[in-house]
Amino acid sequence: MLKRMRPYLGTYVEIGAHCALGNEVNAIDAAFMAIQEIHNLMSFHQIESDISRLNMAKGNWVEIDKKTKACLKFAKTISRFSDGLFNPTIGGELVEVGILPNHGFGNYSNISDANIIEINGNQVRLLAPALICLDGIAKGFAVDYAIKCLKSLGCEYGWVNAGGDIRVFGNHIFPISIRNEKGRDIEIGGIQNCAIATSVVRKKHNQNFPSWIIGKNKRQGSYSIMASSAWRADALTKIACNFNKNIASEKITQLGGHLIEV
Amino acid sequence: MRFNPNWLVLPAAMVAISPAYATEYLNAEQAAKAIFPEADKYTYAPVALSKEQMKEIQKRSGIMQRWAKQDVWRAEKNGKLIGYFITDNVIGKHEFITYGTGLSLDGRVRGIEIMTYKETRGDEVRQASWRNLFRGKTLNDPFKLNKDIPNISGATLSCKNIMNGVKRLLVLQDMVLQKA
Repeated sequence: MLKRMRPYLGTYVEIGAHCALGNEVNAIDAAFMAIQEIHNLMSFHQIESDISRLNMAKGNWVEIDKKTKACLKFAKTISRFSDGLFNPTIGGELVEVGILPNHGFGNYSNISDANIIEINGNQVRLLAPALICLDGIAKGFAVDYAIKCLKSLGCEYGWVNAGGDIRVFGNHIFPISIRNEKGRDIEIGGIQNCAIATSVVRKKHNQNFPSWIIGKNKRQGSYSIMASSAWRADALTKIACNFNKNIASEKITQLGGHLIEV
Repeated sequence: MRFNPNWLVLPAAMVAISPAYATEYLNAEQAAKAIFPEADKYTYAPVALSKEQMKEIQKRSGIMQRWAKQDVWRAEKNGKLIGYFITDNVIGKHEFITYGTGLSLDGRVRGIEIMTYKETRGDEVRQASWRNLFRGKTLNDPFKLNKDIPNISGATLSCKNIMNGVKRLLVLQDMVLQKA
């Protein structure tokens, strides 16, 4: 078993693996490269990413990588099933509050509708001048992609933890703790072949923990979601705080996750 | 979409534990080898900075150079310098990190490896015992190194402190290290 940590996706990413073949170093290196690939494709900050090119294309078709396409499709799907609570067109609002950079986008509007993202083959365009931001789902997507990479290189078990977005695989039980908004770690037991993600909703934005959820009725607190894939767990943490407390658990279950509030 | 639980949650009690643990990933030699695998020699060549140089680094990078001595290794292959491996510390509000970075001779980042990582609560950082934990490599500290709890899911911590550190080291390289 070997584990390494590197700074990616704006946070600290830890990757660990056990390979009977003894190729952990290569497998973990390859998994980090997979993380970097997703970072380069889907970063809002990097102006050459697929997402930035799309945001600056003024409604024209943009050729994108098939992984960006897959992530955009996931975002559209979860947006549709959550009646728009998951919103990948949130970029403009986050630029306005200074959390995301303005790359000189010109005029844009805040449209909460993922249907403006039109996908055709390996091309995508925006039907309205909104700014796409996949920050609510891309970290989880990157974790899934890195896990796929570890599996393909023959690792028996392993994990990827991208700043609290965790997925584990293999015949191994991983102990998990949830860190709540007060900084306390709560042991929740072990997980196997699944993902968990946590979002903390605060009153004020904190640069050390830059994640920020836009929503009119959001409740403060710490929201963790377990799901079979990290992209889904990641995306559902952005939705959970927007549901009334007495229905949040049921709604998250309908969307394919399991909500834990600590 | 149906929820199909294919995982196992042990029926553990919900117990709050103190986040007093650190993870050690690599020592300096291992990190240098990970970033410059082709090098056949790593020569320890620490840099001593004058007060003026420290001020100049801060002026040019926008990041404070807090210490006068920076640990640097020259990565060499067949007697030829191929890059620098530098270790550095991040003492943030929420993290205590020792990391190593490899810089090529033309001032590009070859790689960054976290060597020791500790995420903490803000109030603990002010305690001297926490600072001592990251002094040297001995780790003979009052905190138990718990290697059994690698997975903590929480609010995503920004890595901007590391990125700022690397930015600072690139200026340091430009100012005081040999270019070729």
